[in-house]
Parts: sequence; C-alpha cells; structure tokens
Amino acid sequence: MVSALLALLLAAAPPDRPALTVAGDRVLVALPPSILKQKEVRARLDSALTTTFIVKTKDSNARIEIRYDLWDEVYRVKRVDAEGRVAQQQIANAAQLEAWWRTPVEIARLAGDRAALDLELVVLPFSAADESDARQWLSKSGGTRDPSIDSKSVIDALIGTTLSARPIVSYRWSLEARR
Amino acid sequence: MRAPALLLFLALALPAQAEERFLIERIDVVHLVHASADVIRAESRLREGEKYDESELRDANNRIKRLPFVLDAAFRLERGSVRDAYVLVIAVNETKPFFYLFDSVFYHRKRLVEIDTEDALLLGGRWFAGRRDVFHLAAIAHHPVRPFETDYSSLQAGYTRYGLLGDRAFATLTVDRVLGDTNEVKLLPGAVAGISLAPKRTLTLSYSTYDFGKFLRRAGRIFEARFAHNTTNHPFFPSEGTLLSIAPVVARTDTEAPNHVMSHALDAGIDMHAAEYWPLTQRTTLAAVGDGGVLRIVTHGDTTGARVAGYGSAMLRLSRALHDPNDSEFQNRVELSLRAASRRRDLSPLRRDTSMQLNAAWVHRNAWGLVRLGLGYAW
Repeated sequence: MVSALLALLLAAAPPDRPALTVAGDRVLVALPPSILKQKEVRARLDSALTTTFIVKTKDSNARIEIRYDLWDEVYRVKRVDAEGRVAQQQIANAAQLEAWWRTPVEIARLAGDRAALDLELVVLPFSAADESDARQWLSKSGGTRDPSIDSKSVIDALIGTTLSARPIVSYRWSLEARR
Repeated sequence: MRAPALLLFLALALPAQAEERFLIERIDVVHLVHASADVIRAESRLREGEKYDESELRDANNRIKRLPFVLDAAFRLERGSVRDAYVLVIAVNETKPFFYLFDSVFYHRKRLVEIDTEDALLLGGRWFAGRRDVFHLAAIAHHPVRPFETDYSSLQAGYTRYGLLGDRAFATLTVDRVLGDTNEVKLLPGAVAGISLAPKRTLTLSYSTYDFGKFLRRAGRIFEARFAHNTTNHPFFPSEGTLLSIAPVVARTDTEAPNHVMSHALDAGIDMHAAEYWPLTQRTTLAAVGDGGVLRIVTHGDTTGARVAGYGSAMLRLSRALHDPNDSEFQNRVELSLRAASRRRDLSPLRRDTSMQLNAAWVHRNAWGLVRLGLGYAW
C-alpha cells in the first residue's frame, strides 16, 4: 500500500527550493513536495517507521515527523515549529500528505525588512525526541573510525570501507525573507 | 507553571510516536551474502514476540551498523499475521571482501615530473572470522611526510578486534614484510587502538616500525597517541564542521651513512592537524586544512647533537560533488587545491623541502575504496 502510494510520486529529481513567506515578524517556510520524492526519503517513508525532518537555521529549528501506520492505513504526522508549538494529526492518503507538507511552518523571526536565511533540511530515520537527540544521531554515525580524514593508512582504508558512505540525507539552501 | 499546564506541555512536547510500541512477531534479515542472519539478529538484541518502541529499534539499528562487516542496515516494518503485529525486516548491505586506495597527484616541475608527496597506494582483502574479528592482508606503498618516517613498500597481515570496551574501541595488530630493498629483518610488528571517548572525541594509539636497506640500513620505531575532536558531518567528504587533532609523538630512527656508520636519532614532539569545512552550495565545499609539528631531535653516532625541527603544510581546497551528494552508493567529486608545504626529510633526493602546489583532482569513492587522480603544477 505504501509502495503504491509513493509510486504515485514522480521519479526523483533534485528537490525544488523551499518558499519563504513573512507574516508579521514571523518567517514561514513551505517545503517543496519534491523532497518526498527523493530516493532516500521514499525509502524511509516506505519503512512504516517514523521519518524525521529537521529544518534548521542558524538560530532555530523546526521538526516534522511522518509515519505510515500499516494497520490503520493512515499517515501519522507531527509538526513542531520554531516556537515549540506542536500540531499532530492523521492523514488518509499521499495526496493529502503532500498538501499538508506544503503548509508553511514557522522557522524564524524577522527583525528588519529582509533577512538572508541559510536553511538546512536533515532527514533522519526513526523519531527524534528533540534536537539534541538528532545531533547525537549525527555525531554517532561516524562510529569509531580514526577521525584523521586525511590520513591514509591501511587501517583507515580497512575501517573506512566498513562505514556507510552516506549515513543521512540533508539539503541546504540560501534564501531571502522579505516583508 | 501550574501542574495541569505543565502536564499538557509535557504531553505535547513528547514525540507523537513515543508511546507507540511495535509487537515484533518475526525478524527477517535480507540481502545477506556472506554473513549469518543469526549474527544480525543476535546483535540487534531484539527478540521475536516482544514489543519495542522506536528508540529501541534505532539503538538496534545502530548496533548492527557498527558491525565491521556491515556497510549499512535499514529497518522496515511489514504487517504481521494478526492486527498490530509486525514483521521487522532488516536489509543489510555487507562490506566488500576487498579494499583499495589509489591516491596520487602528478606534478609538473622544471625538468621533473614527480608524484605528490602525499600519495598513497594499497590493495587488500579481508576475512571476517566472527562477529567482531577481521583478518586482513594488504600490499602497501608507505609514502609518509613526517621527518622521522620514510618511504617503503610492504606486505601487511593484520588482525582487528572490534567491539572492545563496550563497543567503544577497536584494536589492530599487524606484521609487515618489506618488499624490495630488504635486510635480514623478516617481520615488523605494529599496532593501532582506537577508542571513542565521546561522540565527537577519539583517542588513537599507534605503534609502527620499519627496517629495510641491505647496504644502507634505515630503521624506525614510532609511537603516537592522537586525540581528536571531530564535528564534521561526514566521515569522508565533510561539507561543514571542524576537525582538530593533536598527537604527542616519540620516534627512534637508525640510519646508516655511506661510510657504514650508524647514526641514531630520538625524535620527540607534537604533531597536529586542523581542518575547517564551509558549505558554499549544496554540492560545493571550501576547506582549509593545516598539518604540522615540532620535534626535538637528539642524534648520536656519525653526528652528535640536538636540534629542533618543524614541518607543516597549509591547504585551501574547493571541492564539488559531480552528482547527488546524498547518493549512498558512490561519490564522484572534483577538487581544486592550493597547498604550501614545508617538509624536512632526511632522505628525499627528488623533492624539495618547500614548495607551492596547485592541483586539480578527480575523486571516486565507493564501498570498495577510493581513487584520487590529479594533475598539478609545483614551484
């Protein structure tokens, strides 16, 4: 069922850029649905386990969680904006999921008339209770490898090729918010 | 905050799936070629018929990923035989039995074409003897850059034990047989131990030896303890973060002069490495990398005395991924590097002690290893 729903999403292409809007002094970001079509993201959503999306700026984070419930055949979704406001609901199908995904989420506050924002989206498997949990996941993903990246001993090659080439998926954009 | 409001806040702050526990009626392991599914199930520490939440499944996934013969492991759930029961499917991508590294930059210099002073060549194979035991055999061209090290080629056999100190450390024992200009010394011992002190901090202890030269013998024993702090976001191609490491080093070298008088040197000092990575775009990264060290060298023999020697290099590197940087199967990149190097080596007749180097390189990495080929100009 999940495969069928996700198959409706088109073949993966590089994700579009997020759209920023400003409401008062609040900066809202709408993530492009093409994120959900990326190969790694599709595989995670297909797992029926939670996929966590961390939306990061320099000063704040928002979080989105999506899990497909195999028995109830609904998506269980949750959104936590930069102010810590939580919204969670059930979504019946992939089309409604895409519509919900487009809903802007607050990511920052705007001090002047415009601001440049470096936005990063990190996709994590499993649920992430909070940002420190996500950071811990990121930092642990390197295992116990000798961290001397430029060292070229046989041990580095031996251990280096026992690590996943890419433990996570992340995207980064430079955007501008205007009133 | 009043108690009901606090309870409401805590309820909302908890992740939506925190209470969700999954009854795992069966664990299926798929895509295995060499390893046993029982080893994967055992390392997950999950039991069929029990309920687990996502944090427990995540920990199990991490444990499996840390197995040395596992390149990647992905969990997914499928419907079980009754409502609210699940089959946990663990898809495992195994480590390859062979590994290689070919890293060379060819420089044009007046009247000479020379190989980069930091090139590396090795080709090896490994055999997993158990859950945490790995034997390897590799041919290596040692091409180090520090004053107390030297160039030679060897055939190395080694044993690595993972999962020490509660999954926080590994240890490797090696023996090397020098290829080419050998003397009566048959086997050279070595050892490496890596310990994860914290998620971003590691300690690596290493001991290595070399001894070769039938007519002009050169031998060395090197011990170093390297402490590293690593906040980079990727083990091979970081796009942001900082890597700092510092290592006290002690080395004893014995060098035979053309008059066959042996001179002995005791080197003691500090070796350092620092790197900072900045993302410029989704695919482009700028890195500033510095290496260096200071040694006090006490010599006896043909010449006797004490001196302080320094060495180091500074590099700016612009790198760009040629396709999706999130691709887990392989990576292709191009790099443009500008490096200033100051080396102080006792035996390197074809290389100058100081140089400026500009090179462009192509890098390919997959689960088998890494190839880096470049062309450059040195002056």
